[in-house]
Formats: sequence, C-alpha cells, structure tokens
Amino acid sequence: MIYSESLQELIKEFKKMPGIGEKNAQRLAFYVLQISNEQAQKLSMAIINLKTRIRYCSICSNLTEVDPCAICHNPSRDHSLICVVEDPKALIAIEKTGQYKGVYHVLMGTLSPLDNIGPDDIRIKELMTRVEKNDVKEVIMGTSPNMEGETTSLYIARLLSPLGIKITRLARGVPIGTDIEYADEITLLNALEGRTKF
Amino acid sequence: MPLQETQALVLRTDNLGEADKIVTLFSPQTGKIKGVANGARRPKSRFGSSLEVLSYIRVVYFAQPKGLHRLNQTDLVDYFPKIRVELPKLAAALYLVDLVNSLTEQEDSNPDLFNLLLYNLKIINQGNFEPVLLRIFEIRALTVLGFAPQFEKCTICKKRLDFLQKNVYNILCGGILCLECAKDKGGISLSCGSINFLKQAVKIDLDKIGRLKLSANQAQEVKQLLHQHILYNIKQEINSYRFLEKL
Ligand SMILES: [Zn+2]
Ligand SMILES: [Zn+2]
Repeated sequence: MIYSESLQELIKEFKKMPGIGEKNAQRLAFYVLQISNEQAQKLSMAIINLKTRIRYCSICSNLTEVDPCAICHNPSRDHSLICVVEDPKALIAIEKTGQYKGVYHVLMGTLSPLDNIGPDDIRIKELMTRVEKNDVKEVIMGTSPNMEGETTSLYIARLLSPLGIKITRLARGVPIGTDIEYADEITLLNALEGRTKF
Repeated sequence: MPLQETQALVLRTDNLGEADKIVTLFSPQTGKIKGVANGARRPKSRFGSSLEVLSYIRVVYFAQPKGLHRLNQTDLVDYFPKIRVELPKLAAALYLVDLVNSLTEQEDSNPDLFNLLLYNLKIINQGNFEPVLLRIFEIRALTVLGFAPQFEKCTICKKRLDFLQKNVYNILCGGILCLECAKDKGGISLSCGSINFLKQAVKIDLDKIGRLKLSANQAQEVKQLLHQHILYNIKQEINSYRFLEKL
C-alpha cells in the first residue's frame, strides 16, 4: 500500500463524486491533508449540516431548510402559476433569471419508458393533487427538450387537460450568442414555429 | 481504425461521464452498433439534435475492434417531428425501437428489419396511429429474425392445424397447439380470424398493411399471443411495453 489507510479512505470517498477520477481525488485528499484542523472541522461540519438540515419541501419538493420552502411560503409569488421542472437544479436555473413570479413543482426525475421509469416513480401524483386542491390557472412545462422531457410533459399535459387549466411550455429557440448558420435544423424549425411578434 | 459511413436509426442513448453519450444505432448494413459521441450533451455539440432516440441519421464513425465505436459526424435525415408531439404515437414508436433493441444482437446485419422499422416510424409520423400496426410490426419482426411461431403444424404432435376451429398458443411449448394437445396444457385460445390475421400480416406487402383489421376480441388474442411469444424468446420484460400498456 502506497498511502496510509486514512488517506486511502478519503481518496476513495472523493472518487465517488461526479467528475472526480483517481488523479483529482488524490489532489483533493492532499489538499485536505495540509489544511488546518479548524478548516477541516468546518469542511466536515458543512457536509453534516447539509445532510441534516436540508430536506424536500412538502409542497413543491424543492430543496429547503424550512418547510414549506421560501418560494412556497412567499405570499407575493403567484400561487396560481406552477412551473414543472425535473430537478432542483432546473428550478435554480429558472430562479436565477429573477423574472419568474410563480411557484414550482419539482418532479424529481423524468419519465423514461426505455428504462422503466414510469409515472409512479416521479412526483406526478403530487402535482395532480396540488392542482386539484388549489386555484391553479396555468401550468408551465419546464422539462428539457429531449425524449424523456417530451414524454414527461406530454404525459402531464394529458392528465391536466380535462381540468381546463392553461398548459404552456417553454419556447425552444436559437441560443443567445450563437450564429444562426450553426444552429441545427430542429432547433431552427422550433424557433420558427415559436416565433414571436416584434 | 477504418472510417465507416452508414444510415441508422437511434434506438437508445445512455449518458457517459459529464458530457458524452453512448448511442445505440440500428443500421441496415451492420445491424445494431454502439458508439461513443464525445461532448454530445453540450449545448453547442457538433452532433446537434441528431442523437435523440427515434432520429433517422447518416453517421460517420471510426470502427473499433471491441465493438464500442467512436462517432465522428452525424447528419439528420428525419426527426419524425409528429411522433414527438402526441403521446400515443411517441409511446408506440419507443416500443418499436425498444423491441428491435431487445430482439437483436450487436453487429448482426438485418436490412429487412431496418426497413420494417423505418417504414413503421414513417407511417406513425404521417398518419393516425392504430394499435394494429404494432401487432403487424411484432409478427413481421419475429419473422425476419426467425423467431416467429409456426402456424401450420401443432408444436407437439406435428399434426396440420385445423383452421376451422380454435387453436391454442402455449407459452411453455413456445408455439401453437391443436386442441387435442392443448387439452391438459392450456394457454391462450386463438380464433381462426386471429391466426388468419397473423398469416396475412407476414405475407402482405408493407405498403398495404393499412388494410389489415382486427376485431376487439381478435386484437386482444393477438396481442397476448405475440407478447407471450416475444417474452418466451427474449426472456425479459420490455420496459416500454409496460408504459404503453399504462396509457
Ligand atoms: Zn416549496
Ligand atoms: Zn397436437
């Protein structure tokens, strides 16, 4: 064994993290080795606090330290407008725009018929209950424009349509900062179909 | 590392690492192949939206000896956009690609199966989707792969089957039995109409399959028989079939 047991242990844990290979895990472990005890305490406490304090919001499934989350709890948000997203990362991305005033519903996954991920495996039932029990006027489909995302939004739209609620989805268009000539034909086609008035 | 070029249908994609995809393709020349598309999940990837499941593409790849090739360039031929906006069509099309993926081995060329799949995706994209199309696809796919059940003779006693009376499909025997042999074995009972439909569905020209019809009762029998027979051959559930059944 080249490394001592405790060093090996830490390298092993780092390697489980996304995008971290053997080399990077070693670098991180050696970094931890040279920080002060105080710093090491802080790091480990941060991890433990995260795991003990953070839970899922009982209304929207967003990550939160208080239940309901700050968005669901906020009276100045429009609670009749729900944006459906796949995971908390998507919620954060939309929230960063600072322009959305409605609330969210986090599905915690997408439907994937090829992988046997069905309606009961993600939080669709919770969305339906929420919509039926509250005065919801519009549901925005904020799922990704890929096969799983499309399947998910088509499935939810089908469940919602008898309820007479307005169902919309995010426009698909040409990414800002790119040249039109490099956009692929499907993106351009969608952008043409979803064109807006000047 | 020879450079290959082929047309292909995308059967499935799996994420690899942070930004790559492993893509399972079905090509008329090489059959099912798998390839890595580096950076395919990045927004400005050179693969664009061509590597989505159900896309019909032209692909250039570096063939690797171990069977996981490296995709170099792709062009979209057809995206079947109308399949992707209607749930019954999307679920049906996903079942077709899933079935082809489940029934085939890698690098086993079968141009007939490719043409069958492509033709059916085009039909689903263009017209109204009818479940009878799935049954025709199933029996034809089983036939071109050499897995189809025999309709001429009883699987056990080899006696010619009498099509004026009901016969029985028995999963343990993997085939159709005469009433005598089925007595103590049981199974799915098949009307003459259902068996005739299956024989027709195999023989008829592809562009005439729209003419084949099934009564509600026959549809149920045929669906059960083919599903049992597929499970008998591949020995596992087909994920997308469950989704289709839940709609
Ligand atoms: Zn919440
Ligand atoms: Zn017999």
